[in-house]
Amino acid sequence: MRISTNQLFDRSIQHILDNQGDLSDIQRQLATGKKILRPSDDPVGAAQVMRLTEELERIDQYKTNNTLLKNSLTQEEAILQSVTDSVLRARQLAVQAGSGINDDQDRQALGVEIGQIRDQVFDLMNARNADGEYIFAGNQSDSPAFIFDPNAVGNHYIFQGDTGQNKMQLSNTVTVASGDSGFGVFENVLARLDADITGGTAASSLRITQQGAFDTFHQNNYDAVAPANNVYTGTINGVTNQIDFINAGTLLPAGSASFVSGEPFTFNGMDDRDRYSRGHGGVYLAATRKEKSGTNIR
Amino acid sequence: MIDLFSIASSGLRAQQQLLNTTSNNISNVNTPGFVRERTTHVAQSSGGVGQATTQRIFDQFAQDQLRRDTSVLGFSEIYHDKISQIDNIFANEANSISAAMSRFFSSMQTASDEPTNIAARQQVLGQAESMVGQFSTMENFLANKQDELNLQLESTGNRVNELIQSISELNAKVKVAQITNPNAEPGALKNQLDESVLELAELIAIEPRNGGDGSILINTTSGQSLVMGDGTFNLFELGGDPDIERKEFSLATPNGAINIPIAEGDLGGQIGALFSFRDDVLETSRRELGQIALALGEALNNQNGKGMDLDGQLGGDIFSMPTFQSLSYANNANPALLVNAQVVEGGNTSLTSADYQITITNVVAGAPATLDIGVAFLNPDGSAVLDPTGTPVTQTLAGVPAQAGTFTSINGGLELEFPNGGAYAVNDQFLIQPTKTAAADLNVAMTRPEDLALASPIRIEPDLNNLGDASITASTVTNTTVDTAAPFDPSASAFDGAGGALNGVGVGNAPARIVFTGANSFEVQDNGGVLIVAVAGAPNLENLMAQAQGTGGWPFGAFPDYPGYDFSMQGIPEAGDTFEIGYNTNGTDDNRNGLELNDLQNADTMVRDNGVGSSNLISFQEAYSTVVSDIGEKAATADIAKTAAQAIEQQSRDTFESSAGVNLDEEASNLIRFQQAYSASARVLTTAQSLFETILSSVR
Repeated sequence: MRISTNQLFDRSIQHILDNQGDLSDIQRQLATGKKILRPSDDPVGAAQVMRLTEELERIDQYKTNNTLLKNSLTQEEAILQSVTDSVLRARQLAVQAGSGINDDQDRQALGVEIGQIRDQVFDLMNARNADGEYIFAGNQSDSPAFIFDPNAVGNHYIFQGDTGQNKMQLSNTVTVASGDSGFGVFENVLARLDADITGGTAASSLRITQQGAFDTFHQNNYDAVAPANNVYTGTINGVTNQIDFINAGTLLPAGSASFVSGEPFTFNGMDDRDRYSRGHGGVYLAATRKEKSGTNIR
Repeated sequence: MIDLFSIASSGLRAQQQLLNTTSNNISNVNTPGFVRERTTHVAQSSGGVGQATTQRIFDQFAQDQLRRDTSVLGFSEIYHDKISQIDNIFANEANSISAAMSRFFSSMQTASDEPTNIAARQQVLGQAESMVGQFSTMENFLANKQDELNLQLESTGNRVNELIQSISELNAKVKVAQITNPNAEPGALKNQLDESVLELAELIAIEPRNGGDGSILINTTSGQSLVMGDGTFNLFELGGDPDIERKEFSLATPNGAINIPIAEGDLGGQIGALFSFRDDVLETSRRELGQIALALGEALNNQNGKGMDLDGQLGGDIFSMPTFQSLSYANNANPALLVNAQVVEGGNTSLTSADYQITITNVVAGAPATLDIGVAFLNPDGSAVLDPTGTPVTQTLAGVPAQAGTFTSINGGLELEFPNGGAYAVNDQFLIQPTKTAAADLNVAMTRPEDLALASPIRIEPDLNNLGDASITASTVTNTTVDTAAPFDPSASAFDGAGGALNGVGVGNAPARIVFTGANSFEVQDNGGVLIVAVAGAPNLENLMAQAQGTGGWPFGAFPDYPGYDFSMQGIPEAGDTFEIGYNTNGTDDNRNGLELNDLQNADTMVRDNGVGSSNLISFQEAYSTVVSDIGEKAATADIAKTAAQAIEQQSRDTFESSAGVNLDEEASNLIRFQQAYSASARVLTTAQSLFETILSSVR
């Protein structure tokens, strides 16, 4: 083939330029340590890198969230541990108080200490975190979770917060609560089930002697909607030496208790210490609604 | 004897011409567009050498091939050049919108972790500013590229017109020269003509034909005449209807009477590359970025509006959303009329990156006047968006009220306002380009960090005396539209905007508590304990409000999204269990809405494919990485195309050069050859002379 003089020069120059371009790219790859310098180097790879970078940044944020969550839960745990320790100490003191060798002064000292423990627990219930937020107040963390009102009717310690729980994101799908509300921890705790005498005798000396039997009875029969259904009327039956109970609301028979005139009787774990004589009209027993113990510190 | 003299002199003249041609070849070895020439002679029957003919030596087919390949190379080079700039800017990590979005959502998570921390909230606003700035930087870069491209189109268009004109002039000169001296090809002129044609071929794809008289006639590859045989020519003109930023070419006939629109995609060459780049990459990328910006803004605004801020108020907007004004077509009856548009609330899940063309099909006078309109989804190049079956995506609406302040929503996440009342004329057309510049138009509206609505406005509290173990697992807020005065809008919610959630919307008292009457039956009661609706036989404890809405006797039927919140429970409730519903007063440490805001990072909230609409959604960062990989993929293809075009052009240039190029060795040997011939011819002359003298001396 015929070659013109300019072709000879052009060809070598073209090759030199091409190689210089390639060299420049490789040098940039070396300098940046990256294989993909621009999206066109590997369009699919570039998109993947972008999504992976996004994922990495998100995981970094989850790590931060994780640390915050751990801190917050550790603090709560420490506070609850302190509460447990305090209550344990109160229990010790209560046991100690039962001992016959204590004189008045000793008991007074025990009382003072129990008072201190009460105040300490109250303080712990209003614990605050580093931001000054009351950790047991739910979402309303600007104000104390519990307040003490000596003039209040009923419970003197009143929960002011709500049941709100903050959650933190630990992965794309997992969120974990970063604490508990005082409602769940201190308020919504079942108290011992109890019953009252509501009529038929002036004296009232009912107490639960067989808690298990009473709990079962309560569980099976308690009516939260119609309080009248929780009253049971007993009538002494002199013939069978029994007290027959009917439900005061539904008027259905509710079982009977054996009866000896002038002696206490027991009905489903409720021990009536009043000594009724034969011919006494009736006894009214009312199972009380469940109460929550948290508000019952006096 | 006389013969010998004439033979000798004709030989001398011939060799001189040969030497001239060779010297001309040698001296023009580096002249661009120079084609080597050869002089040929014919022997005279009466002896001696005859008339010389000088011709350019080249392969016509190689030249045609070279012109075609030059067009292809011109296209690939400019396309590659343009797209690499975009490719590089998207490659730059400092410019990554994805990273900016990640930072924004990270700061949002940190703020949600500690909703009462003002510094963390401030950080969210800072990151929002930086993210919006990033969008704006990218959009401004792309907008500048478009301005630059328009200037380039103008200057390249002018150059094309100059070339068309000069080709036409050279044609005339070549014709004259060839008639004047048919034996000497006007090589210099023809080289100039070929060079102009080649340059034109680099700018647009052309179809040159030889006119037979040495002239070259030129058509575009799509058939329009540029240079005609009678010496007239057509010129390109730039315009843009309705978007003057989007230049279009048309051909103007010599007398300027007719403008022929040109399909820019068929132009080829550098100009074709500019048009292709604009339609395939630039305008598309701008719109896709705009779509992400609008969807992100709308999604975040919408979610923030469903929350409660640190001051206990319902959330406001984080971003100020741009509104869009239509462009009118040149054929409209009154060019002053317009259509306004804005993103409909929650429209992020149906907003496309398409342009919306609105055609008025009927006008009914009245108060207000109503219009029948057609809406067509257009691609940036003006072609219709096609759905998966290949049908253009369109919508027709009848009885659209035309008055200022009344918005009518259309498909594609927009709502339109026709502020000019009954003044619209049938066949008026308007173009709305919501996403074109949106990435630069999105701004952060929120200034106080407290306004970030990380809390949920609703609180559902179990009563302390509840016996069952049912507890709230999830609460959602879907509507916080405040409307407390009659007439009530159907979109109203139970929120009153003043720290309450008991707005009865004129129907009655709002739900205020749920009281269970059994494990799967409950009553919705108002604030005074009066029954609103009783639900019996609930299949589960999911979305109790939705179950109440679906029960006969629900009084708020005229308000489809009332009360605007819902909640689910788990566990088994017992009869008498009560849950109080109220506004989340003082709930400053709540982050439920913050978690919802965070979820938007991963949530599929954007339309992926304009033709499919909201049935195919992706997340913001997915959308952005699609934009980037799309550009990368096109740039990679452009790179390959350019390399291929270069190789092909190189080869056809080689082929052309191998016939038309000057080889100095060849010319040197010719020089010696012709010089020898010249000496020999001179020698013939001396021989003739000495013969003549011999005769003279013999006579003497």
